[in-house]
Amino acid sequence: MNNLLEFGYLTNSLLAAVFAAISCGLIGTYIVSRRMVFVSGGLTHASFGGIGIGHFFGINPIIGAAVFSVIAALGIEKFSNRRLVRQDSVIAMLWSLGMALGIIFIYITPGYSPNLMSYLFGSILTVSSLDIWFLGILSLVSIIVFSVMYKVILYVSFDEDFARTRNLPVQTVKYLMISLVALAIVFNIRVVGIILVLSLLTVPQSIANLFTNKYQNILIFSVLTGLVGTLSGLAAAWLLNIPSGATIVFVLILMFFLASGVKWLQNHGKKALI
Amino acid sequence: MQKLVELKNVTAGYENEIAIENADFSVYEHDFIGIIGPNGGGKTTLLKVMLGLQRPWKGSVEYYLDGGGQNLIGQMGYLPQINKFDDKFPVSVYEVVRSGLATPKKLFSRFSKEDNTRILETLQDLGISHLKEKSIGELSGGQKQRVFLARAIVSEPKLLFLDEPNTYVDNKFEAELYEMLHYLNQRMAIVLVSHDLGTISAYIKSIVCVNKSVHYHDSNTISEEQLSVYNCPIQLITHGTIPHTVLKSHSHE
Ligand SMILES: Nc1ncnc2c1ncn2[C@@H]1O[C@H](COP(=O)(O)OP(=O)(O)O)[C@@H](O)[C@H]1O
Ligand SMILES: [Mg+2]
Repeated sequence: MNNLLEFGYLTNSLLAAVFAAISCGLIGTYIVSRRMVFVSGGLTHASFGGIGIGHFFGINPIIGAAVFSVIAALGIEKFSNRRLVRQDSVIAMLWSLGMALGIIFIYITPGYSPNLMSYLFGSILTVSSLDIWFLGILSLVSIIVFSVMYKVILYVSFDEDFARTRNLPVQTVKYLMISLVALAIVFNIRVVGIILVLSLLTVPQSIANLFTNKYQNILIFSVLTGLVGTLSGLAAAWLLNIPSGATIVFVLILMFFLASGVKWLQNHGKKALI
Repeated sequence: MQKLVELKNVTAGYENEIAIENADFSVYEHDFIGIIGPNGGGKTTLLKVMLGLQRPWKGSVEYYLDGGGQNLIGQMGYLPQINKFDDKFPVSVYEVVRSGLATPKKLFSRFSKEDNTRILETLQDLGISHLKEKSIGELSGGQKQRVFLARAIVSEPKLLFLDEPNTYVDNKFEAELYEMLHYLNQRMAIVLVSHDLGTISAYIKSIVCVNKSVHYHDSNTISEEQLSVYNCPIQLITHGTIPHTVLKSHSHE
């Protein structure tokens, strides 16, 4: 019985690791190529407001966070063309507003308070089946979106105005993609937590970008790098009995430094041979 | 001559600030218009309004291209100002040029063989075939401008808009560029933005001065006095090795 339970945990966390790598590998490529890391940071922290509100009203906090973040994301995208207010200041406000709302709502909710640490740093070893479903569906949707809409995503990301002159559905693509970004952030919070999710969305891409600068290759390579990172991080956390989210991120960044070293050797090795 | 686009008393801007006022002129087949004006004068805004990227606050932009102005796909080429690009963006030269053939219909299908031939021919014409697989960030300023020119003309537009294609390039490239444009001008009307008149005055047929107010000047030469009447403070002298002013007249057939 105990073994079976442990086996359930293990498959859940393995699935979570795989889905995290797929969703973050793909959607992170959109984030990194469009230089939306700061916006994504804002959305990550804003989602904590959704977690608090969800907790207060007794709905699943991840669903609360998903709704809250998608609305925030669409708002940011809608007003991103205006120069009236500086976009980065708005994002900074959203960033802290989310955290503030989260804390306030969790504080005023009667009864037990949730384990805040698990939201801040994730806990892949205790993800629920519902979380896995969310991540799995998101991964599937991301794969479909990136295979069917590859060209339009690339063209809109590279040069929005030009894409408009070709009558491409620029605004629709941007809304769709920012919603996916918000969902990727929220669903992966269960895996690595609010503080660390951004690295899952950017480090694999940075590693991929060291070796290729084709968009398509970065998509694929990021997913593979992410898989290596999440799975070995998970294994290390399991074996050493240390927090999984932090271990995964640590492994990923270690991989980045190793890859940079390999890249450096490649470049300098070539020069030395000549 | 066939009229392609007409601006009727157009005013446009951002938030509460007017960027261009009373733009009132038309572009005809085989035109070669040079848009000049100081930095921040509204040149880019004027192009965007003409391309339909930005809606006028007042007045209207009317298109007379095939399809009665509704279906303008492939009929207007655009080379945007280069400073807005992300140098690290992971995209190859081939892919960039291919985006010039994108249409909403074609998005979900593969590009055809004819498209591929078209892309390769355009790359060849602009002398950048060898850069095909390079990523855009690896190119020099002049090479980048060629790639963006290729993207703009690969669809054989009737109307070509170029926003400062002569920045970040050397004099040699600039001269080559103008020769290419001169050649392209046989098959398409060209509207070119430049921060100074410099050597382009030899190729253009008319001038639009933009410094918030927009003045159409139906000649390729313009004097200091006229510029001051148009309230358009720009340099008339080129930076080239042989300084020449645009007061010199150039014959055009
Ligand atoms: N997206 C924008 N939001 C607000 N103001 C803008 C925007 N783009 C341009 N402007 C302003 O409009 C004016 C005209 O700009 P622009 O058309 O780019 O001039 P130019 O191309 O001649 O340098 C400038 O004052 C500029 O600051
Ligand atoms: Mg400009």
